[in-house]
Amino acid sequence: MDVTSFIGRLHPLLVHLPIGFLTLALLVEWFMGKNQGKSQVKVIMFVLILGALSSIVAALCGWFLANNGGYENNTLAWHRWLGTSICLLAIVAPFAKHYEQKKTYRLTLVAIGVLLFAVGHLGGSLTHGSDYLLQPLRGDKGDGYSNVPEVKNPDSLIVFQHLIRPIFEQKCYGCHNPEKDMGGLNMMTYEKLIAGGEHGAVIEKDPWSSELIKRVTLPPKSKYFMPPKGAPLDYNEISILKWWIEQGFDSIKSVMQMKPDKNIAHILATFYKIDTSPKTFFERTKVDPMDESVLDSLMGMGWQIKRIAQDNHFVEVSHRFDNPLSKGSLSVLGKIKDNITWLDLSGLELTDSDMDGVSKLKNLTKLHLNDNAITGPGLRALSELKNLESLNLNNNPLSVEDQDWIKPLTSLKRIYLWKTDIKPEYIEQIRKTFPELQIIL
Amino acid sequence: MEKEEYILKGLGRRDFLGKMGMGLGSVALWSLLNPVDVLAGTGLRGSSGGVLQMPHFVPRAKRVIYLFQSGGPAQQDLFDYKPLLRELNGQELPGSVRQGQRLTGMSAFQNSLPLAGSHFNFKQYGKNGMWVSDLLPHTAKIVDELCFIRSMYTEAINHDPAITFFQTGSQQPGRPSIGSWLSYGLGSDNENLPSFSVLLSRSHPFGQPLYSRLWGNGFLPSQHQGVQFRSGKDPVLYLNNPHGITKQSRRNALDALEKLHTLNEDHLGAQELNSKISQYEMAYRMQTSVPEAMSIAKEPDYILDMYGPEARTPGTYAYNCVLARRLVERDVKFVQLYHQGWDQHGNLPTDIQRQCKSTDQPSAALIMDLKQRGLLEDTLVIWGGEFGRTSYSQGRLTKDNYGRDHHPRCFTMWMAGAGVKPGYIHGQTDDFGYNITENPVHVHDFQATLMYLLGIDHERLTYKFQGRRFRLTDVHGSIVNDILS
Repeated sequence: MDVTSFIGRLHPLLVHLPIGFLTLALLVEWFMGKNQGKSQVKVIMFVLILGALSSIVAALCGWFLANNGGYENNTLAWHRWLGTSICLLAIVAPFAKHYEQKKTYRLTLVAIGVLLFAVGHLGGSLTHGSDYLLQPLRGDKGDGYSNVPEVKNPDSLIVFQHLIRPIFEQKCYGCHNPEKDMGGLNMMTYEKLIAGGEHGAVIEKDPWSSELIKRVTLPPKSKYFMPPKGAPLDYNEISILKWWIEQGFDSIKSVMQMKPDKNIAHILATFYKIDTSPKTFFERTKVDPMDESVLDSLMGMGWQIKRIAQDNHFVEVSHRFDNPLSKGSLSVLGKIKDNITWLDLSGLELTDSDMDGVSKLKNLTKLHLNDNAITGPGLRALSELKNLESLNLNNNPLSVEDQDWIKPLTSLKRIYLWKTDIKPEYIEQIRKTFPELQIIL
Repeated sequence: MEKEEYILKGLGRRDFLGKMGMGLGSVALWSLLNPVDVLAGTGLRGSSGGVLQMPHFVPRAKRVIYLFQSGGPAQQDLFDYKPLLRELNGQELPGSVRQGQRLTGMSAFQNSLPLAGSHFNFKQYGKNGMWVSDLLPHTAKIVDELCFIRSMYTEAINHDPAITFFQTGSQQPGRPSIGSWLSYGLGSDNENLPSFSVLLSRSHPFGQPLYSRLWGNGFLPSQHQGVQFRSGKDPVLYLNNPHGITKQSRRNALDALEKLHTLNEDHLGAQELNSKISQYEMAYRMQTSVPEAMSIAKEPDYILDMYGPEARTPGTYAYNCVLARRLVERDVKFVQLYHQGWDQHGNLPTDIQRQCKSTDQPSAALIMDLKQRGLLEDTLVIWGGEFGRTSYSQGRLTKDNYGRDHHPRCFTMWMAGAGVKPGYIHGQTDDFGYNITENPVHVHDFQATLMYLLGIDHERLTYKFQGRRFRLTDVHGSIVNDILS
C-alpha cells in the first residue's frame, strides 16, 4: 500500500476546489462593490477561508504527487512554486480582508487571479504534454514522420540525423536537454547521448540491454516507462531505433550503409517514402545532359543513341545495322564520353589499337566488343574503366596469356569469352585468381 | 460541299471535337509552354519511338521471349514436388483443401475426386535444391539460371479466358496483348522487323486452338499487333512480290499509294491511315529482312544440336526457339512463342512425356545459347501456361493412368535472364499442391513485374479508349520485388 501516492493522485481532483473558491471570491468582491454591509463581508470571508483551506490541501497533495516523479522537471518546478505561492496568497487574503488592509488585499486577489491561469496551464502541460493545448490549432499530427526531410536518396540520408533525431525531438528532448537533463541524461547532442545519464550509458551494443530501448518498450504503466507523458513511441519508431543500435549507433552512417533488412526497408518505404532497393551505378550517379547538336551530328554519322530512362542522362550507344562505321568515327564518342554507360561496338573490325578510344569512356558499365579483331594487348588500355560490370569479347582472336589487364577492372562481374582462341588452362587461371568473376564461354 | 460532307461522315463527333478543339488547343498551349520541345521528338533517338519517348525506369530487360505453354502444364508432374499426393494416391481430396472451389464442367460431376500422385520421380538440383521431375532432364541441369515462381494463380478456369487474361490483362477479348503494349510504349529497336513477333508450334495435332486476337493490338493502333511467322516457305504470307513484279515497281507502287494516303490523311486526319502507311513500309523492308532472319541455314551444327533433334524441322518448338534467338539477336523486342498440347485431362502420363520431349531440351538450350552470346543479360525469358492442373484425377484413376483438370489456384512458371534472380524459388504451395501458402503472385502482378523489368511503370502506360484510360494491368497488379535481382 502506498498512501502518499494515493494522496498525491487526489491533487488533480482537489486542485479544482481552490480554483473555484478563489475565482468566486474575486467575482463576489467585484459584484458587491464598495460599501459592503456586515453580512456581505461575512459571505466574502467565508469564501476566502474555503479558498485558503482547499488550496492548502491541494498544494499538499501536489507535493506528494511531484515526489513520485515522472514529470518534466522544468515545468514541474514552475508549477510547484507558483502553486505554493497561490496557497500563501490565499492564506494572506482573509487576514488582509479582516484587518481591512485594502491595498494589500486588492493586490493579493489580483495576483491570485493571474497566477491561477499560469499554474493551471502548467499543470495541464504536465499531465497532457506541453503540446496538448495548441497542437490542434497547428494541425500537425505530432508524430516523428512529419520531420523527415525532403532528401529521399538513401545514400545521402544519415540515419542519426534524419531518422533518429526527429524521433528524439518529438518524444525525448522535452525532458532530456541541456537545461533539464532528467536522470542526468541530455539527448540533444550525439556525444552527450552516448555519454549517458546518471546511471551510466543508455545505449549498449545489444539493443535489448540498452536502457533506451528498454524504457520505451516497458508496459506503459511502469513508472520507468518513457516518455512518461504524451504519445509513446510506436512500432516503427522503436524498430528504427533498434536497427540503428544494432548497426552500431553511428552518427554519420547513411541508410544504405546501415543495411536495412526487409522489415526496416518496408518501414522506410511506407512511412518515410524512402526507396532502399539496390541501385545500379547509372541510377546512383548523375551526369549532365548532352548538347543536342552534338547528338544530332553523332547520329548523322550512324550512331544510335538512346537515353536509358527518364530523369537519367546516361545513354546507350550502338550503331545502325545498315550503316557500317569506319573505325575513325570511334573517337567522336569522346564528345559524350561521360554519358555513355552501355556501348555496343560489335562487328566493327576493331583491333587492339582502337581500345585507347574506348578507355576514355569511364562511366561504361556494359561493353560489347564481340565479333571484332582484338587479339589481346589492347585490352590493357581498358584499365580506366572502373565501373565496367560486363565485358563481351566473344568471337575475337584473343590469345592473351596474362591476367594483368583484368585486375584494374574492379567492378567487373561478367566476362564473355566464347569463340576466342584462349586456352582452357588460362581460363582456369582466371577463375582461380578472380573467383567472383563470372566467365561465360 | 461534297468534300466537307465526306469529311464529316468520316470523322466521328468525338474525333472532330478531340482533333479540332483540344487537339489544336493543346498543341498551341504546349508550344507556348515548351517552345523548344514542340515536335522535336527528343528521347528515343535513333529508333522508331514509342509513345514513351524514354522508359520510366532504367530497363533491366530490353527484350522478352515468352515461351507460352498453352493448355496448362501440370505443375505436380514438373516442378512442384508433392510426395504427399503419392502417399494418399487414390484417396478423396479433402473438402478442407478444396474449400468449395468451383470446378470445370469436366470434373464437377465426378462421384469422387481421387488424389493422384505423380508417376514421375523428382530430384533436387542446383544450389537452391530445386525439385525437378525426371521429365525435364535438360531444364534440371540449368536450374541455377532460372527463377521459379511456384505460387502463380489466376482467376480464369478455362483456356480462352485464361490465355486472354495472361496476354491482355482481361478475361474478355478486345484488349491489346502484352507485346502490343510494349510496341506501343517503347517502339522498335529494329525498323526492319516487327517489334512484336509470334511463333506457333505443337507436337501433337490436337490441342486447344490459338487465335490471332491473342496477339492482337486491341484498341491500340494496328501497327502494334503481333506479326505471326509461319513455318515453311513463306514465313509471312503475301510478303513476297507476286510473280513478274520487280522490287522497283513495288517501290513505285508504294510511293504512289503513300501519296494517296497522305492526301486522304490530310483531309480526314484518321490515325488508322498512318498505321496503314507504316505497315506497308514495314512489309517492304521485311521482304529482305525476314528471309535472312528466318533462315537457319547459317546456324552451325553444334548450335542446332544443342536445341535437340527437332531443331532442323520447321514448325517445331525447337525450331521456333532457334528462330526466337535469331529474332532477339536482331533486337526484336517481344517474341511470343506458343506451344500447344499441355491440356492433359486424360492420359497424362503418356502425353506429358511427349510434350516434355519436344520442349525440355530446346527451352534449356535457348537459355544457354542466349547466355553464351551475352544476350541473357538484357533478354528476359518466360516459361509458363495459362493455369495449373488439379491434384485430383479427372476420370478414372488407374495404376498406370490419370488425368488432371484445370486448376487456377496455383501453378508454376519460370523466368530467366535480365533483371530476375537466377537460381531462385519464389512462393510455396500446400502439401496437396492445391492452394498457395506463401507469396501468391497474381497474373496482374506478373504483368506489372514484366513491365517494370522493361522500364515501364504499368500504372502510367495507358491508352484512352471509349472514355476510359486502359492499361495492361487494369486497376490491379503490384511488382514482385522479391524476384528482382
